[in-house]
Amino acid sequence: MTEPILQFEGVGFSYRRHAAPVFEDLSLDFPRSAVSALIGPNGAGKSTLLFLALGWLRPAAGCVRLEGRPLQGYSRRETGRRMALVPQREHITFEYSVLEYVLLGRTPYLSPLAQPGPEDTAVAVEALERAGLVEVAQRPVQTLSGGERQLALIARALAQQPSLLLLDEPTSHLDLHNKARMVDLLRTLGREGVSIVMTTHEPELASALATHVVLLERGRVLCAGPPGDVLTAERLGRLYRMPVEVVEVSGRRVVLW
Amino acid sequence: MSGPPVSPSIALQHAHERANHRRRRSLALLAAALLLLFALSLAAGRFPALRMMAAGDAPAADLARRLVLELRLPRCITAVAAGMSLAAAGMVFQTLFANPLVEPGLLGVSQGAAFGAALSIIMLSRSAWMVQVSAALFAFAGLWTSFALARSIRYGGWVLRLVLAGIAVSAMFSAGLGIMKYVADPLRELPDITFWLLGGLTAATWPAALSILPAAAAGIAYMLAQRWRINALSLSEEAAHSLGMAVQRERLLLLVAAVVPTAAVISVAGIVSWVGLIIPHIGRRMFGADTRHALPATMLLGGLFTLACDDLARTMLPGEIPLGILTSLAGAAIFLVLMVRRGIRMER
Repeated sequence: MTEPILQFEGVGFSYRRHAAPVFEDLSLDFPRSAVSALIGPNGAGKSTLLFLALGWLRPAAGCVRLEGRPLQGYSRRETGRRMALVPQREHITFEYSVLEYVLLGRTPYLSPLAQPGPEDTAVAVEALERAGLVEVAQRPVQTLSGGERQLALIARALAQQPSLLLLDEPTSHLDLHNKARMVDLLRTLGREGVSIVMTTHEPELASALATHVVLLERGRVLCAGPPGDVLTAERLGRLYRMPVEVVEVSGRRVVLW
Repeated sequence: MSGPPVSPSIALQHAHERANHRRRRSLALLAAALLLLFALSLAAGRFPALRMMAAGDAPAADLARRLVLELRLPRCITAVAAGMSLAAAGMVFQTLFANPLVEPGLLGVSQGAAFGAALSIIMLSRSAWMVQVSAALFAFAGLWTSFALARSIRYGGWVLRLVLAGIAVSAMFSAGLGIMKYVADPLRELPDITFWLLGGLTAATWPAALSILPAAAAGIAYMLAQRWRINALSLSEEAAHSLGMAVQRERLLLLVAAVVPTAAVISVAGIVSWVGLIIPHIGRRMFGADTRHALPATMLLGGLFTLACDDLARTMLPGEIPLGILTSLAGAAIFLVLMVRRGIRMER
């Protein structure tokens, strides 16, 4: 087995000094070139875990490793080239065109005084192509529909050419059609070898997309493994503290309650 | 249209390059306009007579030469430096705080600087350097207090908290300024202080112009050098962090680069209001949101606007009109027009 892309080793974290810790001694690996889904109730620490992976939050104890090296060992630009964040949604104040917005993803490749050149534009346009946004690329971001905006967020992350993509509930605001677009895009990326870690409230999404599933409960790992082993009625029932039923429909698991 | 069909992606890339090219050309035009206005401003004035100066006005030539070189030149330079600094600082503030309605004045910077200047005039020294240092210190104190307050307010979004804190801090400083005015010597000190509140460039002689140029040039140069990265700082902090930025440090450096020239300008010109708020909107409207082009455009427009206002201030009436009054008048009028015509757009 190859080395994991992202490792948490005995990580402890709390938002305030005396507040209850979000994580105590959390150890967890995310396999390379896999689509990993983090499932857990609200407040389980899913987003916090993403922020710790990003280095935006720092663990009070333990260590987060990216490709085997502790995060502190990387420069800011190095991490920006290796991993990209797709937040749940982003408030964009000024009227950037979609292309200008996606170009921001090139920031980690530019020295502090440099500006994006034609090669950067080419990468950004390619990212737009993959997200299916070329037609709307010159419109202000604000004029996009919610689904297109989510795809624009992904396009910006793709312009970073990351080997690890962190997504915070990527489908939570999407209708069925856009959800399908998003799943297709993420699946393709996964096949191309991009490691993906995403949080989600939808076991169905994890079952359709993920190759590795982690159930997170109040900062502890309830269980982790292939979706077939993890997404069972017994385990999901324990996670959400309610009886659920899991049925399999054309190869996918659907949760009923 | 003939020729082989171009894929939409290639077409998009070309359109983007063309737009950038167009914007660079427009920037060059703006710069030329500023130079032209600068030359005209040197020539324009009540002397000699009520017309432009001609090269052959022999009897008055010496006086005219001194007038141009020793009064109008430093004053025009100061006007341009002030306009550029204030407009650029306004744009940097708006972008960093992701709020199109902030400017240094709204976060306690202007009132802080005015208070610091008044304090220096009354308690310390009326020398230009001392006044400037004191103004700069209190400008930072104002900004820092607004910031710290905004962090500890427990409700509302970041922008609302920041504006609330800025209002409170500005009010404190203007109360302090009121006390200063009350205790000031009405013959020597009070006129100096009153000058701050109205703003004007009558004090812009060579020493004053030279004293603000280093701060203005350094701040402007840093902001210009960062004109691409400023964009990324308008995103949420975690997003900017994920783009490989050292968010806290870069934000702080840019704030310093915006506040230092602002404080220096205020120390010479007093509170020249509205330039920092309205000019960035015009710049964005003409050049798009990308600060790569919008920031230099805003600087040039700020220089043009302030220089034009100052020309009017010194030539329109027999006496001088305070510059701050003219910029407020023109700025507020433009702001209203932009709002009505939906030139200022924002979410929420």
